[in-house]
Amino acid sequence: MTSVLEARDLTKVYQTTHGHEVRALSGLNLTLAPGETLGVVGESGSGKTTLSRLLLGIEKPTSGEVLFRGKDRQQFGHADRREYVNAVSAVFQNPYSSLNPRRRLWDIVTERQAIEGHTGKRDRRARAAALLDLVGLRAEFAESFPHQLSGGQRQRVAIARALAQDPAVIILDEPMSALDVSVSGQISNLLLDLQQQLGVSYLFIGHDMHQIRHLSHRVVVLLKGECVEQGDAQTVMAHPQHPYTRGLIAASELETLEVSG
Amino acid sequence: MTALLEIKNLEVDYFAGADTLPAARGVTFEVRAGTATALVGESGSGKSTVAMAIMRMIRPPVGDIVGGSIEVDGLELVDLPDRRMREVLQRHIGFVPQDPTTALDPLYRVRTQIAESMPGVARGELNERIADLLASLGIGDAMSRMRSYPHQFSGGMCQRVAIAIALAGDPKVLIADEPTTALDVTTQVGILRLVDRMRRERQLATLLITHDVRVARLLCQNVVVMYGGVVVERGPVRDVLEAPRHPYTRALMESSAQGRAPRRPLRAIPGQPATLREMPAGCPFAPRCERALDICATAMPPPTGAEHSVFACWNPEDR
Amino acid sequence: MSTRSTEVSSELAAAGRSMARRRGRNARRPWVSLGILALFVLTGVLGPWLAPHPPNAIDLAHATEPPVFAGGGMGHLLGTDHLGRDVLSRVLSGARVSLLVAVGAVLLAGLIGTTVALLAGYVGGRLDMVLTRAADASMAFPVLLLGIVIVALYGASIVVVIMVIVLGAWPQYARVLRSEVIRVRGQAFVRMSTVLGGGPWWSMTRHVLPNIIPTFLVLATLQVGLSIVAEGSMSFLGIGVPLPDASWGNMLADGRSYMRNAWWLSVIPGAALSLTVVAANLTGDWLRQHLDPATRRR
Repeated sequence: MTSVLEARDLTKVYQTTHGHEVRALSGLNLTLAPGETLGVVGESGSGKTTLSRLLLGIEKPTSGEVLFRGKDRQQFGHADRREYVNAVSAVFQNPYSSLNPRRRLWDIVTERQAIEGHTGKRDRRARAAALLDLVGLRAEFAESFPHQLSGGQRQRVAIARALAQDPAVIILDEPMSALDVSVSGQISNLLLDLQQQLGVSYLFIGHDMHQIRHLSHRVVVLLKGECVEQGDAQTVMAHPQHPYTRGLIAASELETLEVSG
Repeated sequence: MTALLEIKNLEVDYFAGADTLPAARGVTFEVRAGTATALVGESGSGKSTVAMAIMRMIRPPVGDIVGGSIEVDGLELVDLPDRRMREVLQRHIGFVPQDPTTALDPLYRVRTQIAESMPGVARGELNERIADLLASLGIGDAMSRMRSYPHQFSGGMCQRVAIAIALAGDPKVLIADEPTTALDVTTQVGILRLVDRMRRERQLATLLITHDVRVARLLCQNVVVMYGGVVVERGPVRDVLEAPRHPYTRALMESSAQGRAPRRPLRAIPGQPATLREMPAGCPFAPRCERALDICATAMPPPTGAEHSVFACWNPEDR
Repeated sequence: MSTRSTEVSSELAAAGRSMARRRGRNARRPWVSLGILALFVLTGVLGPWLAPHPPNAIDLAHATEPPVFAGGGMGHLLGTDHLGRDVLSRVLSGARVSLLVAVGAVLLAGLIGTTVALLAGYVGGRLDMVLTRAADASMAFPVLLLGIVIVALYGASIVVVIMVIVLGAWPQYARVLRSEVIRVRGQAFVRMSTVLGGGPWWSMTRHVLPNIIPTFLVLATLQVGLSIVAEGSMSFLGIGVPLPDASWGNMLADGRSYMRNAWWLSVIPGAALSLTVVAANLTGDWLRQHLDPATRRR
């Protein structure tokens, strides 16, 4: 069973204006299997944002490879690239800036179809209605504007948009961090439900260990651009090996003010 | 141990165009010297509104306090003249804002910003006092670091500076608005420990606004749970969080992923948090409540219970 | 940074917005300002045919007659100037000049400025630096001086007026809209567009442009006013629309010397100018609110 997405020795180095180097990611290795959720835990400066940009093709790595279904992305031809765009989608953190405020929801959700240009408005509207239904929003929302929705509802729209192209992988960058506690549980359940229904893989980036443990099959812990620990989510949570992981877990427990390790 | 901060039946409105939105209704609680009370709620719950109202940051034409009283150390704040209120804010109430990086003015050195809260202190003493304060808050090499600018500090350090500014005037009341939300997980515990230590050392009446019930349990003696502008439950932290009477409190405790079986659905609360514009009549939580009765949709339940353990529900959870 | 406090601040922002709405009642019912602008455009287009007298016709027998509401006869409703030319007719034909200048300058400067803003803001890097320097240089340039030189070499005309105004105005658009472009470009929905396979052209036209249009419109309506006034200034300096053709600007300038005994020669075109500028600004306000889905009345 080939992995659907794989990173080999992925490295990204930025040059700052002062001539300094910032190693955002160093030699990262990870694999994502079909239907699996890989949790990526890290705080600010860990490289998690850089990782999502590299995987989404927004930026190019300094060195290392990204493989899709076993094939190196640098070897991609035109058709491969288009397949990749369709196969790998994203949901970002901020529900208030991830939807174009001047477009209606049906238009936003089917933007991929609009870019490809093969689908007429009527078909796009129909597809949008089906997608909104899939994420638990009533059909009449299709004609609404983003500002008429709450944060949780907007994230549902973002998820619907990510699903529009029948992706194999969705990269979720802190999708619940900006949501209320009572709502993020709903989104969590939605994501689990969709994975069961559609078999889509998730790369779930976050900082809340409990959330990640709950949703993921396997987990990767990032610190300053490096992977310090990787493995089965439950095992890593129960028996963390690296001191940083232990510190993260202890801090997320919030059981005591005494921080150990 | 008197109540240093006493809120009684506070009512706050926002004015949005032709509409008047009820941001807080009948809010009552107190905070005693040397204790911490958590004000817990989500967006639209009214918790930030209450904090801002205490500091008189809600004024016409945006909104106004339309009822109730706010007392700090026995002094009624609601109709206090502006000049007196400013004195109170400077000398009796310290405020720690949510995002430390935007709370500090990037143009001024840290030392200058702290000194603003210490108007009465003599020039010669100022530097030493500030250095001592910063050192006590865990900022090493304080004498030279205080000459730095905010952008030279990390998030956690900025928050310590913000706390320094709040405590510089030697207040009796400390209001902290989600002091750790904008910080990394590993920095959060340090800041929370700091707030706790300051409370004990200075016997501050601390009001901690948060959306995280675990912070409440960790740090506070009392908790006030708000939803849709009303207090749904309040009391000692152990009682309220371990045996909640109000369905919302119970749902909040159960909605966390902590300790849940992997990839099994969570007990999520259905629906959206109530927005001010679409506030239902009766209990604001009724539309999402699985214990809702007919009366919940029409009439607001009155506060019931003992003096310090109060909840407002027609159909509370059993003990 | 937490966006949890966004709910509170967005409630407050909504309160602030509707406060602004209440203050600018015109914003909900823009009929007055729109009406004035429509009148302006109409007279600009139809002016010469509406005029009761040929605007440049000299009639010394009826020189310096006051308007009808200040003691004059019905033959010249708004009076005449020192050469007996009918003020009303000249105001009407002057409207056409002002309209041409305003529309021409605004459109041209807007086109140049917006294009520069899009390129500088979206592409960034070297191109951004070069374009921003160009805009700075243009702003620092003494445009009126250039106008004087050109007029000295080629004579005054409406084309020169428009060119000078465009040269002075395009950097305004460029700078303001560049910030807007950068702001919008940083939003997650633009990044998402790239993820969905949309190229730069797609992002620019579908996402960036529509979101900067409200700012553009406010700028443009402000510039309409400024252009008309600029034309007036150039006339004052003698490099505006050449006499005997009337423009509000050169009528204002001309009438200066007669302020004591023929005040209407400056006041009336001045009033027309002021009214139009105010109407343009108010309309800009309304347009901006109307185009923002969040503040539009549903």
